[in-house]
Amino acid sequence: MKNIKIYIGLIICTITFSACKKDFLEREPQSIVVEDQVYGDPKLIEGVLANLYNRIPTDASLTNRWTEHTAYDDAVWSGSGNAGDEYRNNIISYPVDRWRLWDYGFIRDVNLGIEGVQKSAKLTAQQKAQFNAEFRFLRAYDYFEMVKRMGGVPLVTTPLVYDYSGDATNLQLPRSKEVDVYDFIATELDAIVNNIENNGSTSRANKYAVLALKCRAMLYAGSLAKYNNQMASPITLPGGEVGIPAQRASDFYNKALDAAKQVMAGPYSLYKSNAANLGENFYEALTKKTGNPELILIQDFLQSKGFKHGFSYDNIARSLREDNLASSAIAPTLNLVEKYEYLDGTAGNLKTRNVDNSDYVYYTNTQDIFANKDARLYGTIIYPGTSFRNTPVNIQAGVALWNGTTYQIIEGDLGAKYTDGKLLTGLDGPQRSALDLSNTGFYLRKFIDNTPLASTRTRGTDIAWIRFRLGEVYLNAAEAAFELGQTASALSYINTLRERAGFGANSLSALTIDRIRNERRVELAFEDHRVWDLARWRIADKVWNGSTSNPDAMLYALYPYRVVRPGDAARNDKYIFIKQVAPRFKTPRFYQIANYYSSIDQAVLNNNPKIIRNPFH
Amino acid sequence: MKIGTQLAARLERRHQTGVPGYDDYFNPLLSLYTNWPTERPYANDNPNYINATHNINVNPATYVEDISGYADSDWRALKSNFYAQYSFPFGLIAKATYSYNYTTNVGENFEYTYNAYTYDPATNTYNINGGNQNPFRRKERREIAENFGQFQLNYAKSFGDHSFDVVAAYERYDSTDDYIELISNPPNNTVPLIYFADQTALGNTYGVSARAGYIARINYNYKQKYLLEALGRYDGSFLFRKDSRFGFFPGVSAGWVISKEKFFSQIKFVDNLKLRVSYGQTGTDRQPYGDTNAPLVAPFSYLQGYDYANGGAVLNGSLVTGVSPRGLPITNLSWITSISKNIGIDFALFNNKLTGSFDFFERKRTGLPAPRYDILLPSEVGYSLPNDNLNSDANRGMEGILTYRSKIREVEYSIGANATLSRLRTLDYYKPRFGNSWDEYRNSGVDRWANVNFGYHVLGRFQSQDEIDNYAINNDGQGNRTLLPGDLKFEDTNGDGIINYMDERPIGYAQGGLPYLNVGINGSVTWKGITLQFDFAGASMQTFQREYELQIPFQNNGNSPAYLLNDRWHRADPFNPNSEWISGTYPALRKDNPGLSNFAYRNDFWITNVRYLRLKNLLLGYSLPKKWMESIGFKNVFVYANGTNIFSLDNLKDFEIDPEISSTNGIIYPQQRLFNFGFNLTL
Amino acid sequence: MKKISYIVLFSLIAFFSCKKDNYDAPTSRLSGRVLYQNQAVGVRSDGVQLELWQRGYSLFTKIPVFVAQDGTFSATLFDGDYKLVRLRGNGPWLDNPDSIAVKVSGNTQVDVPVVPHFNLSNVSFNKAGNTVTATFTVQQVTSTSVLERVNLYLGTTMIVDNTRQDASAEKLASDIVIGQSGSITVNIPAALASRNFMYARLAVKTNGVGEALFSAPQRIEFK
Repeated sequence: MKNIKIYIGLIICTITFSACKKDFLEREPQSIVVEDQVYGDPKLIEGVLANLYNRIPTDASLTNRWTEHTAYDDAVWSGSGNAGDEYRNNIISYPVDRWRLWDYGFIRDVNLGIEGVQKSAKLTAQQKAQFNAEFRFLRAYDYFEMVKRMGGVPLVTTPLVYDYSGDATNLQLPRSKEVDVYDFIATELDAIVNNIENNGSTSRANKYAVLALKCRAMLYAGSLAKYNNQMASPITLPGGEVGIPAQRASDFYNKALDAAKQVMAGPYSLYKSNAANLGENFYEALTKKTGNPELILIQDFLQSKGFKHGFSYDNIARSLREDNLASSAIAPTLNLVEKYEYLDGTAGNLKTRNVDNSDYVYYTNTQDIFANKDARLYGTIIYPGTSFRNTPVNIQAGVALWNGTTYQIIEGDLGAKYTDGKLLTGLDGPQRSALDLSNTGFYLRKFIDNTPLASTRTRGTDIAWIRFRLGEVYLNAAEAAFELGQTASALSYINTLRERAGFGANSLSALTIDRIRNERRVELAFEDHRVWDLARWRIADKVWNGSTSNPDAMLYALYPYRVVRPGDAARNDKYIFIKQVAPRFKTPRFYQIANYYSSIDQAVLNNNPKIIRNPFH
Repeated sequence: MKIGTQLAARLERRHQTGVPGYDDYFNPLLSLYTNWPTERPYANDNPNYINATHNINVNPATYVEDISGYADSDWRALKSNFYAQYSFPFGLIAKATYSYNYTTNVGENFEYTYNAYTYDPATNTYNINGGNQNPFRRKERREIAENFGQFQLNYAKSFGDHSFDVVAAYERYDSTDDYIELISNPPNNTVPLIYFADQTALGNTYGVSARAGYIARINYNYKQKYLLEALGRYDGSFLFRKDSRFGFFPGVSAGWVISKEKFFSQIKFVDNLKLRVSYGQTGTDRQPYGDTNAPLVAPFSYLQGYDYANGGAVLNGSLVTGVSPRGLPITNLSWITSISKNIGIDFALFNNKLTGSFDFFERKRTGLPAPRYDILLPSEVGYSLPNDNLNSDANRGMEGILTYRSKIREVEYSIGANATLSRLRTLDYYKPRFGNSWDEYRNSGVDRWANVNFGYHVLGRFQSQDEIDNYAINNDGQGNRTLLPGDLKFEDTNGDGIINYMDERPIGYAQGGLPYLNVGINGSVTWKGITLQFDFAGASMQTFQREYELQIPFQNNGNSPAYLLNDRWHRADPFNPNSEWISGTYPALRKDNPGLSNFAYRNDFWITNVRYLRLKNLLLGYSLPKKWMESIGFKNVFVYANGTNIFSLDNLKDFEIDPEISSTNGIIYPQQRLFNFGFNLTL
Repeated sequence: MKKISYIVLFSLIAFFSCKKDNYDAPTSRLSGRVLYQNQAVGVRSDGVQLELWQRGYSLFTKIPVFVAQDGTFSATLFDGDYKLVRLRGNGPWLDNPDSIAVKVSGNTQVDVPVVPHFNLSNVSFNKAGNTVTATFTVQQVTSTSVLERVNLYLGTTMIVDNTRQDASAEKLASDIVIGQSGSITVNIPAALASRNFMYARLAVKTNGVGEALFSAPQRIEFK
């Protein structure tokens, strides 16, 4: 008996310490890879590139900061009412650090990639050249995103390493001049354009993506050179960190035009597959990922592998939502709708009142007020009387009851019927203070997925975010050509684009810079261009000047009402429209001169005394 | 030789309705606020049709398993403990213990689709109007296996008036945690099996931990009058790199029972007086703030390389898993040392009628993680220096307890009170750097009370529109154009005519943490067989801030507490914009405006220093008399009625919330008042 | 019994602090005006700031000092030596990189002289019917500056400027003769005509400069 006890006791003792391996506390990780393994395997290097592609900064895309589409003048926030979201309708002035970006973590990761590829023992020379080119593309792209927000930034091209010697002065790089950063981007892109390969790919950068980035960057540099110096008081710093010399403008415009021409000579063409319905065609041009010859570089998603996003869940039209929360967050404004011209070339202002302003204009159907407009309006925005996913969208704010002298406006619950048995308020509103319902009377169509169940959280959507497409290249070329005085080429580019929008061939014979700017706004709406364009033309502080009497700084809605006026056959059951400031929108947009270049974080200034502050901060 | 085993098992089954969207506990509470009193849960009050309310997600008609689905979580755990102990004849005892715990969690979540309806009275039909078309199915499996082993030697010996007790031990612990989750888009509301074709997500994580340590303790006392204890631990954790893995934590304490001294024998009314002093160190490898169960640093932070599966992108039509460089390895970080110092006295007076103890204590933590910036590195290097053990903080305070027990004829009674006053203070920072004296005032933590709560001070309310229009200070950032009578007037602390962050001053204590002052009062009365016991618990010096539903009217397009809607500034006639203003406690109601200065500027109108005294426990019991016992055959029968959280005296009654919550919107599972009745039988 | 409870209470009070913060808040006040020709310069509330810099710390960061709409400024500081700087491009005056040395000790006064681009003088307001007319004279202070426009703003509260107004009227430089009296008229919006009073303010804006120079807000009685 005693023996058994001792044996059992000993067994227990040994079990306790059987794992007496010396390194009991040394464990193995499951998902860490060593540097040599990474740069010896092209598949893992692709993984490094994949991680970087997804970190390319944007101001508002489909995933990253998508809510910021409603912070400018193309849309009003119509989603949740939490303070953290509703503030977009109440931005007293844009904070000076709003567009701040000092993304040196990204730059370091790219530089480590370039160095790793260079040192690799297992890659062929061609693979090394190709990876090197793709890393440098990402780096040039990131520097472009930084310079357009901050002005000149320190150019770091190798990984900086601190040697713990107590002296970091050799790591303190000063800010490069703004013009030098743009020149760096141009030389980098020129150096890699022939090595980057990836022919035919839209999700990895190929030669034409490189050229498209160069085209955009050079155009920005050219407009900054020109328009900054046309300001009464150009924004400059004595060391050139901010402020591009005016004489460089034509050089940059030429570079932009050359790059654009090379892209236009490439295997791309404007998407025109749906010739019957040009509105749908424009919608498809931005949502179809395969069989779309217009796409140059996109950020792709894959629903079947779980790599999806909720942009459709958050923004689909209210009556079409398939989930029980959210929808309708981005509500396009009347301001944007009225920028889409009529097909006869006249300005796009909607006719809600008759010529002598004595009465409303009465429309038989709600979509009639939008008749004969630029097809891109249909492709970008869901307006009253149209459908989405083959289901009609039901936009009606209420009923206008004639009481003998004036109209009395009656509004009700979604889908409610009026006492005459007909519709009072549509299932898609609009309503003045409802959440998750359009506040402006318009819904977003561009980038919304019409696949069934794409607006649920579980399935999600995999609509791609478009970084570069041929349509933008045409606009860049037109602007560059016009600024260089080559008005004829500029006209041909603009007309090609307008033809796709239903205007017919050669719709314009004369061109002004405002015409080109308007084309940009209506073609590239919600593609993260608006605020950058206004900034580089130096008109942002005039367009968004914080005044309630400025129709460009206030955001407007269009509320349709069904007329109830029994006895008046010409007016009864017709529709009138009332323009008003969007009810949830409170404060006019206010962009100040100090916003053209964002402030540099105090911590960055503390860490590197050689960094010069941006002006006005 | 002794061997033994203890086995314990646990089976816990949680079964509840699965609500899509927000979490299953939060949603029904959110319903209270979000639903409108004008909406019915069922269309036309017909229970077959769920009403399409303005926010279907919080319609309580959906909180039914048949409609919304279920969320189950089963925990099964087996804990086994084996020990063997051998006593040597000369007083040494050797003991070995081994524990093996195995825990599994099975989670099944199935949320159905359902329709919501709108009733059309004209045609007496129910029309489908939304609902939930987003079904959800999730299966979770978690397996946790833990091993614990300890080998201990114990030696106790007395030599005359001296006695020793020595313990030495070695212990180690490790655990693995394997978690897998499978999410699918179920094709119907019936079949719970997950098929590959419907699968939408798969997640797999694996966690591991390991710790080991040596312990030694020596106890010595002389005549039970002088007491001394010395102990030490040498602990190692898998979180740290090899060279910094272990830490040594000693401690010593001494006690002096003064009442046993000869010179004290004169003082008759003192039965016991003991003076104690102690100093001890322990180590922790957990987070010092926030979630204190989380590890101090992510496992394997001391390794260099690249992380697999960090981000990713779809390249050329296939999903490529992202690989990203890890930052600098954290090589010097080791244990946080917690140094506890304590001095106290225990006493018993008047024949043990009055007993109590009193302590001053400090728990100082050194080695809190911070990066070692001997010099500042430019941000352009793209990385930050790794954490090292550099900072320190301390919790200092005092506590005391006093109890008086006595007897008046047949009534025995006791009453006691205790209080703890303790406050956290941040002490040292490694090379703190500031840009000017204001920066230092606002941001320094060097030798400062922790959790200083900055905000605006409210001077009063605007009494009339005239006062607002002629007010020279820009109170809301918009020229006072958003203000109405009754709105909060902030103090312009620096006199510059603008209310902004330069006007912030400390307005409160820590929020959501342990109150600085905790008190308790307890007592009991016994007479014959009747027992009455009560416990009060109270606290003060903790700040509660009201936000969201408790602050903003019609928050989330929903309802608000009645006091916010009734007791407010308003016009005498709501349809007449020229009628006079009637004052109230709360500002005038404006919907859809959470950015108003009343709310957006964090101020002391919405902040309360919570003070409460709560009757935590009240017990009334009766022990049946012995005579009855003997006849029944039981040794003792005790019948009682017990109540918990019976009432509280607090200063939050006006806001209709419980004083012991930290959620600023009040949407939290409330404290429960329990009454139970029972009996104890001793056979 | 009583004695022990007193000791307990006393030690509680002595040892512990109920104060919310153990750092003293700054108490010294630096105040003054932004001056031109001994007159405070009117600006947009929350639009203009000066900077205070303090040496002797390991980092060098500024303390913003906001200028109220009547041209006064005030900051609560710790005693010490500071440098007061006019922030470049921020304010209706010429950039001036000079700094003013300030020694703050208790309540300290300092004036900041500036040279505006333009100035307004002989400002008066008059209400007639449903319009408000302001007469003014624009003076060119800096010869190289170019006038852009003069605005008249009406607001319901005392704080009126280009971003906080209910009615505005504009007169472009082409219609203004510098040095001579001019006038500008604004219509009172119908919805506000029944009010007892409104505030009016004139602004003169320089081409290429973000902030305008304002006159003092004037209360216009409607009844």
